Amino acid sequence: MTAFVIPLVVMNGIAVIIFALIMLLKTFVASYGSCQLVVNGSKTFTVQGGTYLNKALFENKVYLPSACGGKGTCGFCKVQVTEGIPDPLPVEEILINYKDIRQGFRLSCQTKLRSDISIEIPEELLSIREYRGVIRSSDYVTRDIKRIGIHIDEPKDGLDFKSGQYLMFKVGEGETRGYSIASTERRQDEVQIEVKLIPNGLGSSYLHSLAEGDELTFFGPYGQFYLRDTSHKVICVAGGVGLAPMKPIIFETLLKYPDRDVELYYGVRTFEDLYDHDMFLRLQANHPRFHYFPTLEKLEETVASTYAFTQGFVNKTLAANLTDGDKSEAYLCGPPLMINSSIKELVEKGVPEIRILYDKF
Amino acid sequence: MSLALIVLASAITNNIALTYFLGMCPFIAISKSLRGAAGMGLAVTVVVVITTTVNYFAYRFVLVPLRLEFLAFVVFIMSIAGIVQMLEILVERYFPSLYSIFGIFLPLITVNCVILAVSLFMVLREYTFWGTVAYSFGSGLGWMIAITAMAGLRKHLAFSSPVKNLGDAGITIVLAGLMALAFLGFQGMLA
Amino acid sequence: MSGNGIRASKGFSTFVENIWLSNPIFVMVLGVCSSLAVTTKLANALVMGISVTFVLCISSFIISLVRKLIPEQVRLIVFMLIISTFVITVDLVLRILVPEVSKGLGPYIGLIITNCNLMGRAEAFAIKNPPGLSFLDSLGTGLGYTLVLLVLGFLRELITSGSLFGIVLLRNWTSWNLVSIAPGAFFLLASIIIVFNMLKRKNKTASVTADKPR
Repeated sequence: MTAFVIPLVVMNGIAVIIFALIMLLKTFVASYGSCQLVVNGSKTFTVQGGTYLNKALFENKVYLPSACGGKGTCGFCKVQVTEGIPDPLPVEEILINYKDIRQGFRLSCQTKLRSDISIEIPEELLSIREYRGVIRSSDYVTRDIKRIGIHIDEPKDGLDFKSGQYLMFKVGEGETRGYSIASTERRQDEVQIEVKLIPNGLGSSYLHSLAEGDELTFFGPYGQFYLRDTSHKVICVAGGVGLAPMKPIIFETLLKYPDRDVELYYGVRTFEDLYDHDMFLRLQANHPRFHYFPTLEKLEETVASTYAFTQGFVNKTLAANLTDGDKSEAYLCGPPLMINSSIKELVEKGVPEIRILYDKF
Repeated sequence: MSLALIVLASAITNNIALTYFLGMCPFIAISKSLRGAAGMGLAVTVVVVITTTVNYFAYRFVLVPLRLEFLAFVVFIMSIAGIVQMLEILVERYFPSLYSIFGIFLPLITVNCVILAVSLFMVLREYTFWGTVAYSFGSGLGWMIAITAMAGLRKHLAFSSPVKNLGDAGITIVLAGLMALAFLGFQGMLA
Repeated sequence: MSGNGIRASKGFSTFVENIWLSNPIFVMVLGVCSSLAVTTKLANALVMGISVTFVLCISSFIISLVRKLIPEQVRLIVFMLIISTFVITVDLVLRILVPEVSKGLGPYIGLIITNCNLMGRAEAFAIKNPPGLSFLDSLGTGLGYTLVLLVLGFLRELITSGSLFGIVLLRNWTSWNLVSIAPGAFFLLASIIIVFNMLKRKNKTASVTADKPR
């Protein structure tokens, strides 16, 4: 009997002593009191010291983009610290270049608040909010792209976004992934995204697995890639699922600007990968200001007879059809290879580089 | 004199990483950057000395009198986990600049085999108190020397192209082998 | 019925994947410490491999059973306590069953506690998956680990002394002592990694070409 009890007593005794010591240290040593957190010199929050900057911002409804969930591997949550700059950590030296480190750029998920701190973040990040929604529809538009319609429940006043921006969806514990808003109709309480299934991709397999009625959490809207308020002609260049952000851009231009032309250069691999083809054909028939140039990499005989497709890559179609480059501005979204070759073509056609916006994925 | 010998032996001729293969996972994973390697090495040295000393007292004055030596594994790992956590809190509060150098490695250290191994060797080899301190310090130092040297070597590796199939980890293992060979050379010194 | 089939096949694929495709030592370079230290003799390697597999399987099974009861903040300590309990069991059993080998393994049995594979599997798999699947996952990892240990132990004992399990096979063998000491172990492991990567690359290209006609 005693042979059984003594080990238990000893083990528990030691465990209790260690635990008590840790708790003592936690309450007396690790308490930092409260700190002042100033954002962009305008907003001041009082936060509990010892928490991480990204958590403190999150609790105060400032949502920074993040793809890794605070593990310090994606570098999206970078902020500029202007006062109370902490020493850089080895992780930060990997993700942030030397010059930015010197200027006070730090990862907010690695920065622990120990004293008062002032930070600078892009102004539009302050308007980012958390949304909750329910899936209304989820359908395949090609064999690997699903269009997901979401009804926004919270907050009640819905989502306001600029055409071309994206949302970060919660796809796991602490994991978020970005998807462009693909709504054709602007409604406060509805939003559509298009998700291409990537084998073993965390975000796409999660979103593809959801069915009607499932709940979603997302943040946004993010991104510098949005329709600019000018009078230039709009050139949209999309590859594959990169078509998604183009739809709000096209529809907004047609509705809001009576004298801006829109051209859509849309490249996919085969006819099966093409979606919303009929919609764009109808749009072209109804709107004299909209021009549609679908391009197929591989053109089968049977398909070629239905519509005058161009065969090859998008930059070839651009070269053949684009005019008035100097009076245009361009929006590109797609794989890096396509974007790089298209930018080259656009510059050759006289589109000023400053008016070329792109979103690589 | 014999204490100095223990330090030298454990740091160089019987280097804990290169002859006992201990702490290999971080040895391969963290030796990519020199600063990281030095930070990790420092953290290991500090933690190993403290934990081994504490474990020495726990073993000698609690476990042995009660004839509970078989509980050593659990007691050692518990005290290591506890001490690491306490150390993290203390360093962060009182030495923030030190914390930025090795603070983030502290949580990783709990599962570093070096720490537990030194405590276990301490029991097997029946060191005295000062022997324990000298041995643990020497081991930590030896591991630090090895990982820092490895990080230095790997920095130069960036300019060469080893066999493709070896991979990043493979070439590190080859380098570790070469270093072990070099450390063998010290053996005559202490004989 | 079909649900069962899917689960079985998922379990099987995790199992196979861990033995070969994500072999703990070759691919992830985890738990190298003991794999090099205990493989001077084949018998030691075998005992070590079995011990690790046993502790790995049973601890991740139990962690998975109680995964919903473990508070997030103290989970690492709980993992360690569960793991070290079984390591103590293994240590006591080995001392009675194979005292020689137990002595030869020295502190490395105790060091199973800090073997990265155990914590790694608990943290990456057992905490999120049901017990059955976690068990298979760990069995795969454990067997993959044992396999490497056996290969290393086989080569090292044969090259050093020309014997296996202590039985002399090659008479008049000039013993290569380099392989039994530390540097040789590193070189041997590195060469095995080369062979493994070569095989894997070949396999990969083969499967890609096989897929193409579809």
